[in-house]
Amino acid sequence: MEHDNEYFYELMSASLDNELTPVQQQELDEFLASNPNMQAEFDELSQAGSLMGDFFKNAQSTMENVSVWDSISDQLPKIDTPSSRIVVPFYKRRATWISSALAASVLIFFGFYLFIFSNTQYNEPNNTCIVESVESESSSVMVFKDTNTNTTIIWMFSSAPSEGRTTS
Amino acid sequence: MKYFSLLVGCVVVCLLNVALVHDASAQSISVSIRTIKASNQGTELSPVLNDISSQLKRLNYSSYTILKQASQQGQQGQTVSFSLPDGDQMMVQITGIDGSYVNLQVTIKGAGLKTNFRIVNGGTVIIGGNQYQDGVMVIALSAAF
Repeated sequence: MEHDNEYFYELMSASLDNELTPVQQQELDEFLASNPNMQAEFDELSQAGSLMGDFFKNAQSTMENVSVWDSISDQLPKIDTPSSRIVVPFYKRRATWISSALAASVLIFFGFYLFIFSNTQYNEPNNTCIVESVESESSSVMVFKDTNTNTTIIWMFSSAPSEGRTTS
Repeated sequence: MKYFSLLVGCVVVCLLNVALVHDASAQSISVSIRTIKASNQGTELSPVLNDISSQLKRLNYSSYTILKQASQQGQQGQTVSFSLPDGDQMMVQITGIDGSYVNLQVTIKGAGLKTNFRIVNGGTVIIGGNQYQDGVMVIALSAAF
């Protein structure tokens, strides 16, 4: 039975996949022996097939303990990355939220502090006593300030004993 | 949501700090008096008056004798009362706290004296002039919070 080249190509392909029956294998061997060009072509295909087989065997052995994602991510640096950067939205940035919270707290704290003390009068730091008013019904009163001892004296003059008071 | 909670927490802490530091109305204020007889009889200076001896000497008396010591606690808006050795009554109204100062209104009933002043925290003011025995009565009034 005569066969065309296409038939033998199919046999060659099946041979590389180890799918030939012994009879078909013998038929292919006889054909290749009588056709050096086809033999050379078959050798090239066999070599390429064995290289691919080795590659997949190695890949399978190394990927047994590696997740799919890790194996992909290993390849990522080899892939051309896009020139534009990925921009994280403002409201999703953790550092922005933390710094905003701290800044707001500080502002509120100082705002309240200033609000509370906005009406505070200035006091002379060295003045231990500031007399604002003195009233007396029965005597003259003078206020003395001794700057040397930082003493404030409220003194009543000509204060004779009055009702409810005794001198002894 | 996590950071919003953090923000609210910080604000609450700050407000609590402000409230605790500046809640002057709930602050206890100690008002103390030392009633002294100042005279020119002798040269006595009671030991309890050593801390204010330089202030008393400005009155130009030779003797300073302690007659009475008293201290009372009060809060803003309250009035504390002291009985004086001459039978008079001294009322001290705590009108407020202003920074490091205590605002006081002092009334000595029998002497007819009414005065408003601010005294620094822990400071002392001298009030006197009323005749007492062979000298005059002096009141050293202190306030602290």
